[in-house]
Amino acid sequence: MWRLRLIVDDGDPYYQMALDEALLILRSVNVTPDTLRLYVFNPSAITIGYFQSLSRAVNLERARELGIPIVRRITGGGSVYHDSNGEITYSIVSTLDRIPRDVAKSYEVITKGIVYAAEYLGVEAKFIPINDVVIAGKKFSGQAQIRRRNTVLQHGTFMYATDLDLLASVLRVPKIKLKAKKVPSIRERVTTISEALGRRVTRDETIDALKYGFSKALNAELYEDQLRPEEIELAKNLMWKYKSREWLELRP
Amino acid sequence: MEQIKSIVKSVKVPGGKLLEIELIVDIKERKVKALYITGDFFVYPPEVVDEAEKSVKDTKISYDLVDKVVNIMGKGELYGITLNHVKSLLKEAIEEALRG
Repeated sequence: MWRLRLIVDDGDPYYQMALDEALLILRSVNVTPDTLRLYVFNPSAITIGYFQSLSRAVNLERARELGIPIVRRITGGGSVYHDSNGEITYSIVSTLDRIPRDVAKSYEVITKGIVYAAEYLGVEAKFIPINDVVIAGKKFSGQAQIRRRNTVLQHGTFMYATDLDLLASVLRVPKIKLKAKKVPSIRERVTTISEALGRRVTRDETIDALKYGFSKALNAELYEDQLRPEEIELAKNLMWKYKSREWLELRP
Repeated sequence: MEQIKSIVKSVKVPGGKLLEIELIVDIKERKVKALYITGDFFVYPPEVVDEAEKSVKDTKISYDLVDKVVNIMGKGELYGITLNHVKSLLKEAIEEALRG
């Protein structure tokens, strides 16, 4: 069985994105073990995909009004609102010995963890390739991946009680995308576990569900641990990139 | 007339992702000021997109740019979009840029 290190923490968005990159780099040179992180963005934040246009992916005026920080990820994919009190982000860093080399397959294998976690909470969820998980056609989880050397980083969201009206007001989705999805606005396209169940699901329940989901999907035994000093050190060095205007406006 | 013009072309790939091509051109000088290939797609490794964008910066606007960009993007693996989508949007953008 796969012994997979588990780190549970919370922190600001720059730290979270820097730590994911630090773990990817250090794993790819064999300094640190395979790791599953379950984490909270504190404060609530917006992340955008590596290839996204900042101004077309985010309602910048609204985000500024609300004081919500915005960070560009190293992974592709779309814009996300990470609600401190309604969303858990996971990241998995592993060599490709444990995860399929085929990209589509690797998304499917890892994302099964999300489907099982939803099932644990009593909700039937479905993986929609490439990188979405939906409940009755509405998205509550998105994933994104990058690979370096022989290593993969996949991170993704699990919305258990996100403020969806706020999400819809700060994220921008182009009209051609909404039209293709046959929805009038982004609000109609998303949901949460709590909305599906009709009761408020807690953060602790969600973390338990994700532990269950990923250990089942990956046939892994999780052991909770602390970060190593070199991981924290590299993350702190990388934080400057994520805080910089150049990085955020890489694609304005 | 404005000398610097931003031309944006976009497509939602059926069963795939959003692709936008933003071409910023200097109409008077007939030059590309910047190219942004944006959207919620995935490319492995991502750097080929950066390289493709940079390769046409400050060059003359012409259809030769299409092959240049597509050849560089072709070194990567694309998910959610295809090289043909990049090609046709870029062509449209260049066509508009050449019209001035």
